[in-house]
Amino acid sequence: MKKLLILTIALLSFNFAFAQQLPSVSVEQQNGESINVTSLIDGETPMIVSFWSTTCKPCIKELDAIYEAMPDWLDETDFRMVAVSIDDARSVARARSMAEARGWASDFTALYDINQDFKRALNVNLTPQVFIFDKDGNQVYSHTGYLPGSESELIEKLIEISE
Amino acid sequence: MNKKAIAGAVVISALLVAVRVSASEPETGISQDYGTLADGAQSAVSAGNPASANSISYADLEKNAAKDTERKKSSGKYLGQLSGSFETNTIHYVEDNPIGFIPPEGNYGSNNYLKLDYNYKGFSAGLQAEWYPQVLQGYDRQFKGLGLPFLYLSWQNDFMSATVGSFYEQFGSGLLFRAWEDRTLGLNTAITGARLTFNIKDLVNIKVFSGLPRDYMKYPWSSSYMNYVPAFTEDMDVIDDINTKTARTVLTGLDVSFSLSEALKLEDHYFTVEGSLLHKYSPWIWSSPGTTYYYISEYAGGKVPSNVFSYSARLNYAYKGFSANFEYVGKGKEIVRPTDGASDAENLLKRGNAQLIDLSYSTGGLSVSAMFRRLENMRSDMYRRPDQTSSYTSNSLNYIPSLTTQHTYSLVAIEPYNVNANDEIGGQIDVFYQFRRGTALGGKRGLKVHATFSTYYANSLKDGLTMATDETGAPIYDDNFMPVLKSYNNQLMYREFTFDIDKSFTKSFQALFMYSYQKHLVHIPDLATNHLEERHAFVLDMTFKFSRKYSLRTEFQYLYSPLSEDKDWCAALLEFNMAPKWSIYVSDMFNHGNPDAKHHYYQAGVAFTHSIVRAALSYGRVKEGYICSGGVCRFTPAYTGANLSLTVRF
Repeated sequence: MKKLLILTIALLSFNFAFAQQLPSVSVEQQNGESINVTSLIDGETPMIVSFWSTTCKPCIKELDAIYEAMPDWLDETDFRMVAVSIDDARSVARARSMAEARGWASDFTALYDINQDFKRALNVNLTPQVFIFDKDGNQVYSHTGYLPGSESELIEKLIEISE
Repeated sequence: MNKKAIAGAVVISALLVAVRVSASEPETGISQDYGTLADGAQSAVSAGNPASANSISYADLEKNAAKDTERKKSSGKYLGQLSGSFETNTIHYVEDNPIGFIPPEGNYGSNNYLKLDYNYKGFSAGLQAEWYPQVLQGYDRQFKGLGLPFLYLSWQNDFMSATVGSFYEQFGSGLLFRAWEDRTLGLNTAITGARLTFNIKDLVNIKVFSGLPRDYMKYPWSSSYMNYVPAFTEDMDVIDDINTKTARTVLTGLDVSFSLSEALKLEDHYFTVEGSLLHKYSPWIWSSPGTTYYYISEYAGGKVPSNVFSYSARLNYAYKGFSANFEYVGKGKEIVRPTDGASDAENLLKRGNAQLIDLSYSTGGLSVSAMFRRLENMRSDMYRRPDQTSSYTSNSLNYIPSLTTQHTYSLVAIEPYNVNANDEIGGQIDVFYQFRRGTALGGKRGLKVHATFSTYYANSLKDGLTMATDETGAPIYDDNFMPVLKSYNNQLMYREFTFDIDKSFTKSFQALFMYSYQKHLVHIPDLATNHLEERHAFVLDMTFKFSRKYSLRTEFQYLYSPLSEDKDWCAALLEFNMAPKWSIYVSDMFNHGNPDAKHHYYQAGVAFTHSIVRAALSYGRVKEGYICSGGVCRFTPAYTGANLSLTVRF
């Protein structure tokens, strides 16, 4: 353990870029087709990336809250909303159906991370986990968990980075 | 084996370097690939919402790629990117006589994970260190000590990737093969070896790998593996300390996906044909059911093969709101070991097969998905254990989940259905409907309804027996007070009907009501038999939002279960939230219907989140299952005590 700590500290003391970028991993879209996550970077608009699953009630609440607030938020600043389901083969069909019925599949970019490569690449341990990536794909905000009202931090951050 | 593995790694590394040189494509090649990706992104978005602002154009991507390169060049000192996470889940246990909980030595358990990843251009390297000074109660004891079970080096460009070291992988839905991690379940089946993936113009995707599956905290070169057939005396007594040893397993797999929609340039359609091959090499088998030792030649007439070949074929089709997926898996000859603890005589050498059909359709606010699955002798272990009657959580080669709704309300999920991978037929259907805003039922904020139905039977095995029951589900006895048995075949294993209604009444009040009916074949150890239980669960979950910062959530649950041993339960939860950082809660589950064990499962906790850190502290008596509180959900085994859960990500 001691060696590990020393190694960690040594690594941390280097001049690495810590602001994590969107990783190059493949996920599925609503129709099952694969897409590389980096292709979401458009150089113009930032995006909210939210990790959710059908077994995560707070995640569903968070996405509903964002869905509800999105028209108002878009009046204030331009952004895109990406909902990443980490449901695996057991419940991914349910996740797709839920995203369709709740309007997320049409108003958000709905992605399905079936073997959780995207989740691991961003070091997501618990859901809900939300990120904001700027127009160049650099991570500028992250938050674990959702409590009613937490979503207001997202629009504040989006406005802040648009200035 | 060790030398072979090292030699393999060297060869792969050399190959990697060679490929790297030859893959230095001109810029045009790269931009072409960006183009196809952009098309994909656009079609997905436009399929759902024509007015969406999410579309990504080819030009945008190219522009962005150029900007990215420029930025990296100008920074000069770019040393790559380091990211990672740390997680600890530590419990101080307390002895709890009423529910019979005995804490382990030292009254504690602790699971710790440190994950680090380093990326530089197309290269990445990383590790996961795990530390179990004493593994948490309910997890496999084989997780012990400090180790580096996950180490990798990989390189990728837009056309291919190469990995040496550990990786996770899945073919199709995982019915044939899945290597994955689930920390809350204490499961990690990463493969250590080498993997190559290719993407040829989005037309053909190929994955090929070979390696050793992870075996808890053992390294592949560990001396606790055995490469030779063990020695036995004439009485079948073992000469070596064989109980602690396992045969090494080597897996090799190939997965090919061919896009017909890309080949035929079918717009709006998505159509792929896929196939996989999997080879498992386990040099020998040895078992000790009870006290009898078996030698490989004694087992199933000495015909146990060391090589097991399996395959799968798949079709995926999607058009607008409709999608259909078909999967067939054929599994090579292996010893079939029933999951329900049946007698050794049933351990036979058999082939396995599985069929999976998944259909879904959505239009407007309506969305329907249906799944059918049939399993026959599909249980497949990564390692053959000396003691194969014990359950090893982290030893599954394929992923065969129960295809039922995974409930998170404690009383709805009090006794979830467990799949029988060797013998099951059934399916489920899910219907989601959203009454839009402004409709009579939708009101100002819409109304969401969801219903699910699932039913599963034991089907293919003809030799199983179960207890006969009358129409009330009560067991039938003969004149000698012995339970009457009937054939297992076509026996209902599980049936469920659940619906939930979710409505935001005002900006500050939201409520969810759920009803669940479950009929479940439950094993009764005392009678060494099974009987059908019926349960009705009711849930009311309400959220009151006082301001942007303060909110209160309450949960009330009732379980009506007259036929079960535990009878009725009730539960309540009160959670006070201060967004976005603090949450405190108290909850109780009370087994009031059981005259012999009226137990309270009480809990209280606090959770704090700020920036990259999340910490949660709780105390109580916990029943196994999902705990959704403090803004997150996680699975936990049963315990009594204080729990500290801390995650840091960077």
